[in-house]
Amino acid sequence: MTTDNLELLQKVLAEEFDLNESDIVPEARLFEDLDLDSIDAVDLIVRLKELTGKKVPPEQFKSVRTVADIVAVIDSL
Amino acid sequence: MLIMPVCCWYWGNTADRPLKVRRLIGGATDVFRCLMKTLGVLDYRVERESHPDGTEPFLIVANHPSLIDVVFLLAEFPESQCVVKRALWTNPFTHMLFRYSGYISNDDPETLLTESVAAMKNGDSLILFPEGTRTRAGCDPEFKAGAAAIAVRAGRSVLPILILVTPTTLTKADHWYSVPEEKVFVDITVCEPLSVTDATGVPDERQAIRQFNKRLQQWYCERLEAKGC
Repeated sequence: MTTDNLELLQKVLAEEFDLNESDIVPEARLFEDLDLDSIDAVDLIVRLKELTGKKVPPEQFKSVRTVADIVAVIDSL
Repeated sequence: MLIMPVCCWYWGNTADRPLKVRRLIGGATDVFRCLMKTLGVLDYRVERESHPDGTEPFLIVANHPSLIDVVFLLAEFPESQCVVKRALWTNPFTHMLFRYSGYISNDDPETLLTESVAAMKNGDSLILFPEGTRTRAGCDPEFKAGAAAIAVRAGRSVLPILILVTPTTLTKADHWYSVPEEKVFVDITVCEPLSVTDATGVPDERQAIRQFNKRLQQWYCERLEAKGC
């Protein structure tokens, strides 16, 4: 997991979904801990595409469960 | 397979061709359901608690007990847009229909949302099953938030359609070739619209979507329970 991508994700999640950055740790579960749902996941993909210029394939996002999982997906793009 | 290419060629690549294709599909599904009724394969009834006059676009949603649900919705609302399975774009029997209809594919959640909202803001009605798949037999419908998100973001009301199919047929658990012993009866109710602006005091769009989805799901559970499901 790269630090840059983790920090980028923390900033995006905090801004877009009104979360505390201190709660956005790698092991945080998106649904249970951060209260994100499927629409939030779509909006997150859109925001990441705007910032990185790269689109996360929807099928890659289906198995994402934690913050660390999303960072791993961004790292792989 | 024959009529569609001829019609598409005749109509030409014009802005209103998708609407004409959708009307053709609506006409064909209407003929199909009447034929099935005449042949005694099934019977159906459409009850109208509300009478949309076509001036206001709606997000037309329905529970999804059976594979034949969409036939009745397309016949009732022939000019509407519809969210359809991506697989139908590559099916040799249906690919021309969907290529020229302007229907929206469910392939990519991002484009599904943006295209649906855009179509509704443009004044089109849209048919969508909030469950995203057929209801599991014997269970309450489980609505994903996509329908609520489209309605809230487009600022359009939802026209809820209640569908009952007895005996159950063409569910996720049935094979398509399993014909029930008893004649199938499809009971369709076009209900009063539900407005997204009824959610007063909602702090932000995310909460509005979640609240409306919960309200929509609860509405369906109550209506289905009242019908004995």
